[in-house]
Amino acid sequence: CRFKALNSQIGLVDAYTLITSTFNYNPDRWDYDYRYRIFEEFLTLPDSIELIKIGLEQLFSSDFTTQERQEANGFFELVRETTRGDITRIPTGIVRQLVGNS
Amino acid sequence: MFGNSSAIRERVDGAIVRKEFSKTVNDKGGTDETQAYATESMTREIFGCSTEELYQETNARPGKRQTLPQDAQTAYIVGEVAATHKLKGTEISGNQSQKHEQIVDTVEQSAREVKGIFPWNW
Repeated sequence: CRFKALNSQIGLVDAYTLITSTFNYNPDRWDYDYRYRIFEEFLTLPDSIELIKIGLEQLFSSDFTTQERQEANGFFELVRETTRGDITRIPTGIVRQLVGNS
Repeated sequence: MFGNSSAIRERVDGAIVRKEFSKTVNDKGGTDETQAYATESMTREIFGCSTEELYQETNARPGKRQTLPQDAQTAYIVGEVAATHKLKGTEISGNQSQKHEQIVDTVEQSAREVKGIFPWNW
């Protein structure tokens, strides 16, 4: 899980890729069952929260449509399930809003 | 040559180019890892270093491509356009692992074909 988390920054040109692709889990993925642990490992890496924050800013900018944001529902579910209501684990106001709205 | 004339026409920018590339990787059967490795191989071909190194050496903010030097941003656009066309024109088949490899190879190949445009590769 740590290995997969460390690899999350390979080829990372745009932070939003973490949200729309890397952590946008669906049951077909081989690592679906490990997603919580991979995500938690990822969050322990330096600057990982900063990257998520940048990714969210990008995703919620005018570059993306509402539909595209909805397609990232695998990520938002993951956040909701990982934080289990303890939203201070990802300390950004944006995520707080999103978990409430999505 | 350009097919459906009633298709939506809007200004194409870097974000659209990137999305089209990502969509094409997905359509061809690539996963999140395929996206990552394909992008990484594009970076290595065009810039001669890893994505992480590129951002570090240009003092750009990781994850924010608009903080890269303009030449680097346009190089990515060129790379993504080339990769998108090549992927669309290439048959990708087999199991997940084979598709992953073929997609990454195709993207790498397309990057190799355009890298000569850029002055740092002369």
